[in-house]
Amino acid sequence: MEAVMTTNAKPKRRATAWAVLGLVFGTLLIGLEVKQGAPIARAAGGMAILVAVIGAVWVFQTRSETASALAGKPVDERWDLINERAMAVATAVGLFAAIGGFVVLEILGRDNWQFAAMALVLSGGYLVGMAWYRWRM
Amino acid sequence: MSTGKRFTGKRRWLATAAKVAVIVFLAWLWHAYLMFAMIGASLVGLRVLMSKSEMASTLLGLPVDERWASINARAWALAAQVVFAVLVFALFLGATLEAQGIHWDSTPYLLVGAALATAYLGGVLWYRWRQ
Repeated sequence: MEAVMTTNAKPKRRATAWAVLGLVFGTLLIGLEVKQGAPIARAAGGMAILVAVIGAVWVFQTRSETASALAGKPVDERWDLINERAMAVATAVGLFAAIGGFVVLEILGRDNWQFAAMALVLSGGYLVGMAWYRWRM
Repeated sequence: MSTGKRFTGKRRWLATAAKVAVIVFLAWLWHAYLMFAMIGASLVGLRVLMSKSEMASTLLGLPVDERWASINARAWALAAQVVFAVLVFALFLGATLEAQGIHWDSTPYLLVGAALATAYLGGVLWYRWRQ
């Protein structure tokens, strides 16, 4: 008998779209940095980190539940919940960082609209999510 | 039956009063009275509606039951995904503008993005360890 039984076991197929998207965006960003005159060594280092992280998560996602969750394919309800809670924590920390940045720049008398915009996107996303899931659940 | 957190009315009012006190202090500090008055009024309004509306209660961080706790967690998760997409777009836009010689400061986006990513990874490790 298994110790834990789940009803949402998914076939072990690799999620590839996110990896391709990440590599494309990362390469474009690094390419733009090089175009601006960034040192080639720094750009190569950035590219190596990007490829290593995406490659490791992509390769290990069929063997490791953590890697699978990081790749956006939680293997069961427990990992769904872990992923959801981790995202909720990230949003709270991101909101705190955005408001903190806004306050610090306000005190320094500098332009802070970028932090305000991010706080607005975070709180707007939260309110839309609240309305959407209330309607759906 | 619900097993969600329920605080007494007195403690809820104390929490609202503490938030309003912080807002009054910030308003005094920055002289942005109108903006902070609106925030304070919305907090008090939510607190008044709290006993009648489950959504108001959730918006104040006190979901009344598991269903609302789940709605709250999913809404937070959606907000993380939306802001992450916006951050990637902002970084890409900034790099494009910089490449064309237009000044664009990407530091705020990088800072918030780093905070989000670190908190997400930390959250995965933490909840993996706890559950």
